[in-house]
Amino acid sequence: GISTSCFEFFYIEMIEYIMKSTENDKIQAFKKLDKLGIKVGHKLVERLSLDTNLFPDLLDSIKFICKIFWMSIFKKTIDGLKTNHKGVFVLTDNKFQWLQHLSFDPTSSNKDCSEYVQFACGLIKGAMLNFGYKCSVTFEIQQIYSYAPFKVMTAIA
Amino acid sequence: MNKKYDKLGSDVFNKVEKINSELFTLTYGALVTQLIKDYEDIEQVNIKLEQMGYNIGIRLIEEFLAKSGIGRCTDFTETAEVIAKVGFKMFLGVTCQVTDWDTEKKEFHLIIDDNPLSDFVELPDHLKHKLYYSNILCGVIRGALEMVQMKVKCTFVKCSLSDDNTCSIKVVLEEVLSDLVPVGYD
Repeated sequence: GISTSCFEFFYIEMIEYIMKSTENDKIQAFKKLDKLGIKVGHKLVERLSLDTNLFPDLLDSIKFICKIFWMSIFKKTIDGLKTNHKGVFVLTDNKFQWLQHLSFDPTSSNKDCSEYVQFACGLIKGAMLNFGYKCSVTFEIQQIYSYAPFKVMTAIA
Repeated sequence: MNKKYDKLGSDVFNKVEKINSELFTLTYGALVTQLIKDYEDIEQVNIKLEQMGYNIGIRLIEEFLAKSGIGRCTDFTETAEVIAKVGFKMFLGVTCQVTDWDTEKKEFHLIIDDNPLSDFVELPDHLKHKLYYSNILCGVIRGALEMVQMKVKCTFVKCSLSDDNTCSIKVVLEEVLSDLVPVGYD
């Protein structure tokens, strides 16, 4: 293992680079962050799922994300899982790690800090892709910047 | 001196919150790949990685001093030991060796045997001896030391990904900055 703060110092710097490299064009920046996340999520799940069934069904894949995948990244599981039983899942993390230790610049016009969450959407997508499911992942950040529900909409790849 | 800092390093590492190092290794790799796409010129990638490290170093030093409880070092040889045995251990979970001191004790090499950044990484031949994959570490050391009034220059001498077998960084003390002038003020 490495120290959590080591990753977080690096993570902040990575996000800053991506934002600057796209001249704060959020759409472009989010595309880049999404792609980075997909790559990492895809590889990460490969290492984590060695003992898992090779082709888990959709619900098992989502459960894997909520438990094992989330645990390996954030040292906690997803707090809430809801589904409409038609391929849409809402995963809620009540204390999203990457929004915990940031000091926000109150004078900045960019107060929602969504760029710190977008990478995690990519991670979920990459992981699901590895299980054979192509999905779109969106999120909302609510209230005091710590509550992040991810909405995972799936379609079979 | 070695033993004392070895112990402090493990004690501090045991105390800090830890995460899966694969997440870090893979994310770092993805970022380096992105930089290569964005810049094309590999030398620019090395420079950018060093700058990113510098930004990290100037922030990370505060946590390092607070958690390790280390005060002012008596000389540069002590600083080197602290970086190798406590700094690297606390953040990356590994220690380094300090070697090749010059006679004036102003430069040394840090040998990193087990660099977590380059786990599972293979460089294509055309990047070997050009890309300093872990150059971010040079920046971190430079940034952190600048905040404690030491101006240093760090360069990669050997990179295990370019067939050198070891990973080694040369650290040169250029100037001890005056305490009276806060960083960032001219």
